[in-house]
Amino acid sequence: MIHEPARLRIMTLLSGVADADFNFLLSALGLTKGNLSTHAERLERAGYVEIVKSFQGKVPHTRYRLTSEGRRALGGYWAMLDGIRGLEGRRGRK
Amino acid sequence: MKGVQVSDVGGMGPVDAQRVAAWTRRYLQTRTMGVLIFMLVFLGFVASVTGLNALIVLAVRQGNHWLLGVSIAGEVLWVAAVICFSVPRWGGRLVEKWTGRYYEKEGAATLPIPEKRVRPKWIVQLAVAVFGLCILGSVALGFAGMISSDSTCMVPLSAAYCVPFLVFLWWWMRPLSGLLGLLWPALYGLHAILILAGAPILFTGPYQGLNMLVPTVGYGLFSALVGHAYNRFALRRLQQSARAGI
Repeated sequence: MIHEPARLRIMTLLSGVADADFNFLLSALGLTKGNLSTHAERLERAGYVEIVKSFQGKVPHTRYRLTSEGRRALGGYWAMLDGIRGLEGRRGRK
Repeated sequence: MKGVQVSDVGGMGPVDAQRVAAWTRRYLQTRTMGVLIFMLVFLGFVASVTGLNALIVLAVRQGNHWLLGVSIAGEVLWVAAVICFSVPRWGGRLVEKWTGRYYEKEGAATLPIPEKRVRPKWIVQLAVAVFGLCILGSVALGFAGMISSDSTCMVPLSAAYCVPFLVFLWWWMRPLSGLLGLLWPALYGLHAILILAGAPILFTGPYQGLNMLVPTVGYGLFSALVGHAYNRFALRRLQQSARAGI
């Protein structure tokens, strides 16, 4: 789930903030609107991201927040990646 | 996750994630457009009132009643506008609206505030009250003739309470404000020290009014401009690091 580059970057970006809106993720990541929506919904279904939809006046406003489960999963993913890199490094030295 | 190739994630690792988080924080901490707009509007008001004052003097000298009437009416309107703009409910909301429009395409994000950083509101209320008392006190002492109204005395005196207040505001806003937020009080303090040391940086004659305007609005505007320039740079670096490998 997290390994997909766009989803990994959405989660990485959200890990550094309390929450972020749709335009922030769009401008930082440079994804298309459809692509971002699809990936964010997948992350929401996995329980990694919480999506809050509201209105600012008449304009729809969507905010994203990394859940504690998402934070744990991302931390685990980085630990696993570090492990793989360490393994590759040891193999390379042999 | 069996068979994961490190290259599959475009070389992104925990260090890159930290870089993304760092540039996100720097970008969010330097969104100074609100301060910039506020300072520019304030400078516009000061310039307009100064211009209208000059017109009033000119009208009196020439005995031009029509020009005098128009200038006084203009000045009254501008002063009313300054008062309205100074009310946070009106001016603050207006600046917020303009700032929101500017950053609309870039979106918004909130930096996480650790629970231990949530401070009671009375601290800021007390600081604002002390700051207000200091301003009133220095003006009252000036009027009473107990301190010299000369800029050699007034600028360092104002720095004695403005610099701690600006540093307090920076501390209060942490972690929403970055180190660049200290540029304004640092310049203000340095300016005051240079005046005390006798450096020839004071304006004289008709430009005397600039002596207070430079450290207050001038350095504030300069700091906001530096912050904005850094903000553009931080946004580019954030985009580069966040998009790498997609």
